[in-house]
Amino acid sequence: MNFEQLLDGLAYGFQPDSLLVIVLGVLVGWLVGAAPGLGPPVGMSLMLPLALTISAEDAVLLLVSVFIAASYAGSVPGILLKIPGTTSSMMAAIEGYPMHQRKEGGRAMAISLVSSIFGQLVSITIFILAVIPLSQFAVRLLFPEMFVIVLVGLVSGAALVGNDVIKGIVATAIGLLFSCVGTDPNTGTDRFTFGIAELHSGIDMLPVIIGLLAFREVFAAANVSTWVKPVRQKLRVMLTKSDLREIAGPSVLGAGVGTFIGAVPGAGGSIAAFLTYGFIGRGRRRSEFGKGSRGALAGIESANNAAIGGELIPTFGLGVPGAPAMVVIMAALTAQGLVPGPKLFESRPQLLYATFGGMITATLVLAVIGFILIKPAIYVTSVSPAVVLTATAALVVVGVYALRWQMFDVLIAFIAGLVGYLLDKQKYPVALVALAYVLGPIMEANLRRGLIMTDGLVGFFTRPIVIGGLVLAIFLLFWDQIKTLATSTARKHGSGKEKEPAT
Amino acid sequence: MTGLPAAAAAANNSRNEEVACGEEVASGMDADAADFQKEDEVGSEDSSDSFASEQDDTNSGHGEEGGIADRLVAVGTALVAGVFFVGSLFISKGKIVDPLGPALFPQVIAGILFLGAVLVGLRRVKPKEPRTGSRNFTTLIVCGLFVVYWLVLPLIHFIPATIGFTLALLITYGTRKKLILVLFPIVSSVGLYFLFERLLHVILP
Repeated sequence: MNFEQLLDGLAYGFQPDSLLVIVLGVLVGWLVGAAPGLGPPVGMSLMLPLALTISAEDAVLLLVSVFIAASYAGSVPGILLKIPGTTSSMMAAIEGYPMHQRKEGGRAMAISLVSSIFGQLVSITIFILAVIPLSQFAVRLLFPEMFVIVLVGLVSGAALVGNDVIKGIVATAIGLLFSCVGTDPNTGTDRFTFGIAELHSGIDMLPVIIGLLAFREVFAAANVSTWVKPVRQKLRVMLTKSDLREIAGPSVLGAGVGTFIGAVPGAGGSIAAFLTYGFIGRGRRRSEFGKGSRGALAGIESANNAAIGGELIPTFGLGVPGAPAMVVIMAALTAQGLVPGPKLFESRPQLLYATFGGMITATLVLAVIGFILIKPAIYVTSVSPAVVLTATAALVVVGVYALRWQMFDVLIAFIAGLVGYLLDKQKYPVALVALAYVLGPIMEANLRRGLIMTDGLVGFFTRPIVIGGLVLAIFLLFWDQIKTLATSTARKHGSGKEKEPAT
Repeated sequence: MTGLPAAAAAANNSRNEEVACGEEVASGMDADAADFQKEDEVGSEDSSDSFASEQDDTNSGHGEEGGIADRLVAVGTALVAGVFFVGSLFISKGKIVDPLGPALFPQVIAGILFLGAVLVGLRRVKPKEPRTGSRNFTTLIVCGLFVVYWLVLPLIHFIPATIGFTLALLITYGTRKKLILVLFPIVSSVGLYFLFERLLHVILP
């Protein structure tokens, strides 16, 4: 690691331009997170048109700031309304809302903020420590290995996101298939353009991503139906020494679990929060769970927010985004003419260090803004989702049009949003469609170049890393079956042992 | 991974307690919320369990495994796979530079998609089918509004078109407060116009 560049990166985060972008990102992220129904990918998608007008470093800072703030603020409606702003802040609602009910909403939000900030700072540090060696290792990998890494990323997403592996695979296949539309880069022949001139250069990535992740919400009026206004209550922001003692341990645990789980493509904040909740639940104070446990809330929030740094590790280190929010960052970099992945560290190292520095600054800015906004939060959560959704619709239309000044792109975003809505309604993990859409061309290019390089299938599929990756992919796909088999075997074994004395 | 079942169980316990809490909070609803709540009573089976609907992954997870809608989506995805497979047969091979060529990768993916769609479509039907008629109707209206907006936007000025679009959307979503219905469309349309056209120099349609 180059410490000089690291310090430059830290300084970059405090430059006036960067600071402006970060403050804007944090404010937008906080609003999007706190408004019931929207989440980080929606906020980041809405910022994409703006991200293309600034430098790649500032674009990443803007998007990451939105992500950081929205991840924290997703818990705000969870604590005040018991309606989490994001799926990953579901657990925070379980522990935060009972605190609000006993007039400790301000304390719950302060605990949420402190532990979120702690989790983020730890994970950002681990991110910078892990990503450089990872990209230095990954840069030596050749086409077959890169293919298998992308494959494992996609399979891991299909296996871990949602509860249905087959629907995960279907969603991934849809994304991969549509990524094939346009001119084939290897041969220059048209694929699936069906005579539509606009499709020769493929379906532009950004309208698809914005449609799938943001426009979808406009159709999903279900958000609106579950919304209830919070009981107006003056929030007293307080955090005592006893609170700090109570939350210290769980926050450390959450930060570790969150960073580790976040780095697994497809896992992310919600699984990290679930796991941390389970670990803390094994402690002495299990009876407090579900009734507003301060420690549990801190652990959950720390894990949920620590996943951010973890998710950035494969995105920057391998070029494999592990979460929908990371897909947006990757799309922004691609649209700026950069190739996300290990080579980015060689070609533009300042981007990585600026991301690190910017994230530290964004976290500190969030600490200040988040603290100031604890009391007004009750008013933001009072905004009707009808207004939020209408604003989202108008912003998406104008934002997508502004990308290339083409109404065709708006139509693409609309179709992608509608498809996303229909799939989401049947519990297909729509985020995987976006993930596969971004990774499809990378996967295919590495496969085909790899086959040329190894001169055929045998040479390609007998490379040690490829074999290891394929075994891992199969293991992930059949994880549920393996688990069931292991459990039933263990039960049989256990019951056999119990019976032994009787025989 | 060993902690996951314990955590999920804990979450489920808390989720069960949640149903009762939803009713307490509902006392603070205003007119808008009441409208939405009314819509939901028609549209879904259990509106009080807001947490359960969040758990259904994202926001609109009302799909029933093996239900008609699930099968229709499966048929749709199978058709998409078919269209792409047939389309791939017409791809010109061009100058062959790699063993796969331009068609094989999408053909394999189309095959996987078709197989997945068939597996989803053949699942056993579960007895309960959710009633989502009202919500589907809202979605249809939103789609219609968008298509009209998309067609009208190049013909008339951005501000009046967007005022009409946002006003219609607000009404569709159930907003009845006159102040919001008057102010929001005007402020948002003019605000977006100035932000994009004047500040970002985008020539809006």
